[in-house]
Amino acid sequence: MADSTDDDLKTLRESVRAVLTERGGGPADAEDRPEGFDPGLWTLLSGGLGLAGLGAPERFGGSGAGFRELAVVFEECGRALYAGPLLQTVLALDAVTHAETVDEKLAGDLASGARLGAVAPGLPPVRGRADLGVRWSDGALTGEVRHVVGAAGADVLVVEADSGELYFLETGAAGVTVVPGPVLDPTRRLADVSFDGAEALPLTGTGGARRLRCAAAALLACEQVGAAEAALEAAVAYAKVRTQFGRPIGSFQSVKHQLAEVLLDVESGRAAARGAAEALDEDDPELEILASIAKGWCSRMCTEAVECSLQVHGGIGFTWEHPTHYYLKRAKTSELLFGDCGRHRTHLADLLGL
Amino acid sequence: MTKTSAARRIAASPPAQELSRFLDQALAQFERDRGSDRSHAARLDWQHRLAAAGWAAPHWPAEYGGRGLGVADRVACDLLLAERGAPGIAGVLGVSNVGPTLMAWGTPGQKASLPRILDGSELWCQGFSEPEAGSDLAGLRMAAVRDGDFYVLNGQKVWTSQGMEASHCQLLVRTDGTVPRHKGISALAVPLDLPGIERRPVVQITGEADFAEMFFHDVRVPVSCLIGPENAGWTVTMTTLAHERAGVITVASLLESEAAGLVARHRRGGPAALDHRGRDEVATRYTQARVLAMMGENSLALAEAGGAPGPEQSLIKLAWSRLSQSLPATALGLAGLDGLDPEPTSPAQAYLRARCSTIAGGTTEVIKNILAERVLGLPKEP
Repeated sequence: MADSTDDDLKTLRESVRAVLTERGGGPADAEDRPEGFDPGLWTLLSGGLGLAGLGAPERFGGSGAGFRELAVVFEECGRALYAGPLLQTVLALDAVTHAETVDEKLAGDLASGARLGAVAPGLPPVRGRADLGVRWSDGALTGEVRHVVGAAGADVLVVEADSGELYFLETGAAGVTVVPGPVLDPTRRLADVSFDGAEALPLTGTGGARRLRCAAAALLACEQVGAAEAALEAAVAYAKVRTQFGRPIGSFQSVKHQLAEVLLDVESGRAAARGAAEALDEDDPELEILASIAKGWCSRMCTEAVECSLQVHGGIGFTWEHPTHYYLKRAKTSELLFGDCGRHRTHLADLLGL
Repeated sequence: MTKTSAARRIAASPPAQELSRFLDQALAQFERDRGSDRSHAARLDWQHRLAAAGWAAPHWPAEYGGRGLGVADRVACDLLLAERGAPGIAGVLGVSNVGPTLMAWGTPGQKASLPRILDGSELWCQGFSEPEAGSDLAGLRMAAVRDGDFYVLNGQKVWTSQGMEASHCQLLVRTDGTVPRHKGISALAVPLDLPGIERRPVVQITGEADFAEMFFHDVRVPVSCLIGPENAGWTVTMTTLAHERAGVITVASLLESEAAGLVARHRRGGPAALDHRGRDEVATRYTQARVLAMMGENSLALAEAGGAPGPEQSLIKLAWSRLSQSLPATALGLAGLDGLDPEPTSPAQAYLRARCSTIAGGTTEVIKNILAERVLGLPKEP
C-alpha cells in the first residue's frame, strides 16, 4: 500500500468519510462522554479500518502505508472534527517504530488501537532554543509539559526532553501526574503532565524529536485543511439558499470573492500539507522546511476560513446551536498547537539561514 | 541550499538535459556576438539560432518542426531557459498561442505559416482587447462586414502585446451582431501590412512599450483568412487559452526560484542581513512561493496523467498574480531608496512592471468570479 494510486486514496477517503458521516465522532460524541470520544467508534476506526496502524510497517502490526495515506485520513478527521485519540496514537506509534530498538508489543498495541498514545513534542526551535520544560537525568524525567493532546486518556506518553531526545513512559508510572485542563474545544482535550523523577526509556533512533515535531505539524495541517474545507462548503451551501435583498447572498460579489479567497487558501494549504506528509515518507532532507511551511500556512488558513464561514452565516453562525463554533474552537486549538504560524515562520527563517 | 522544484524538474527531464548541452555552446556564442543586448533584433536572432537547432518550440509536434515534448518536459525546458538567463524569443506569442491554434483550426494555407512562426520570419500578435472590451472580452465590437470574398474591418484593438513588432495578427472580430455575443465572433489571420491599419505603441508605467493600439479603417481581409468556421472565434480562442497551462506552471515555478534568490541575497551574517521584520517578510514570501510551486507540481502531475485543465489553473493564476507583485514589493522595500532607479533591471521597475499581473490575462476580480461560480457553484449576478 506504500504506493497507493489516486484511486486507492479515493477509496480510503470514501471509507473514512462514510464511517464518520454515519457514526459522527465529532462534537456531539465528545461532549456527552467522560472520555471525550465514542469508544465503539474508536474500535471501528482503529481495529476495523486499521487507521491507527495505517502508517506503521507490517512487522509491527501496521498496514505498511505512509503519511500520504494518513494525510487523506486526517483531512477527513478534520472535516468531521473527529474527537477520538487517532492523532496522538498515530504520532506515538510513529515515534516508537522509528526508535533504534522497537518495543514490538507496544507498537502492536498502538497499531491495533488497544492502547492509546499521547505525544509532547517540543516547539520548533528558534535560534537553536526549543524552550523545553522537561529535564532528563539519571534515567528519569523531571519537569512539566503543558497542553498535551489526549494525555488524560492515554496509556503511554512520548515526551521530548531538554536533551533533544524522545522518551517513552506509561502515564500510570510512578512520578507522573496528569491534570486535565479546562475544556473550550471539547473535541480536542488537553492536559498538563508533570514528572517528578519519573523513570522513562530513551527512544533514540532515526526519527527522534525532529521527526515527531514534523509529523505532528504535518498531520495537524492535514486536519486543518479538512476542517477549513468543511467550513467553506457549509458557507457556500448557506450562501446559495439564504436570500436577502431579494437574491441569494452568494450572488453578491463581496460574498463570492471572500469565498473564492478561502478556496485558494484551502487548496494552497492542501498542497503544503501533502508536501510535508510526502516529505515524511521520503525522509526528505527538506522535511523541517516543508513541515513548517505546512503548519505555518494551514494554521492561519484554517482559522480565517472558519471565521469567514461564520461571517457568511451571519447571526446563525454566532449561535451555540449551529456547528460553526466547534470549527472555530478547533481551528484556534490547532492554530496554537505544535507551534503557531509565527513560531513556524521564525523557525523557517532560521532554517533558510536568514 | 534547498533544491527548487525547477531544479528538480530540469534534472528529471532528458530533453532538458539535451537542451542544456546545446545552451552551453549556443549561449556562449550569443554572448560573444551580442553581449547583453536583449533588443527585439537580438531576441529575433536568438530565435533563429534556437529554430535552426530544433529548440524554438520543442513542444510542437514533430511534423511542424517541434520535438513533440509532453507538458512536463516542456515546462522543464522553459525553466532551464529561464535559469540559464537565455534571451526570450521574439515571436513568443506565435510559438505558444497562435501556432497551436493554427494546428487545431488552420487551413492548409494557414498552416504554411507554422515554419515561419517557428523561425521568427513571421511574428504574430493577438488582437483581442478593445477599449470597451477588456474583462468583458465577449463584448468586443470590431466590425467585420462581409463584402464578396472579403471582410471589411473597422474598429480598434488595444493592449496588443508585441503589436508594434508583429507582422501578423490573430484578430477577433464581430461577424454577427444579431446573435448572443459569444456566438457572433470570428477569428481572422490578418497580415498587418494591409492598407488601413495604423499602429501606435502604448507606453506603460515603466516607460517601456510592450503593447500597441491598432486602428482598422476599411481594411479588406480575404475570407480565406478565417480561422475555423465563421462565428466560431470564441471556441477557436479558447483552444489557445487551454495551451497556456504549461505557461502558468512555468511562471509559478519561476517565482519559487525568484524567492530562493531573495533568500540567498539576505543570508544571516552577509552584507544584506535582515532585521526581525525583514526576516519574517522574506520567510513569508518564501512560504508563498513554495506553496505555489507545490500547487504547480500537483497540476503538472494531473496534466501528465492526461487530466483536463481544471480549477487549479485559475487558482494558480490568482496566487501567482499576487505573489508576483508582493515579491518585488518586498525586494524594493529591502533595497530601500537605493531601489528607486529607472534602470530596467532595478527593484522599482520590477515592482512597477508587476502591477499588470492582477490585470492582464484575467483580472483578479474576474478570476474570483470564475472560481466562485464555476468551482463553488455560487449563483451569477442577477
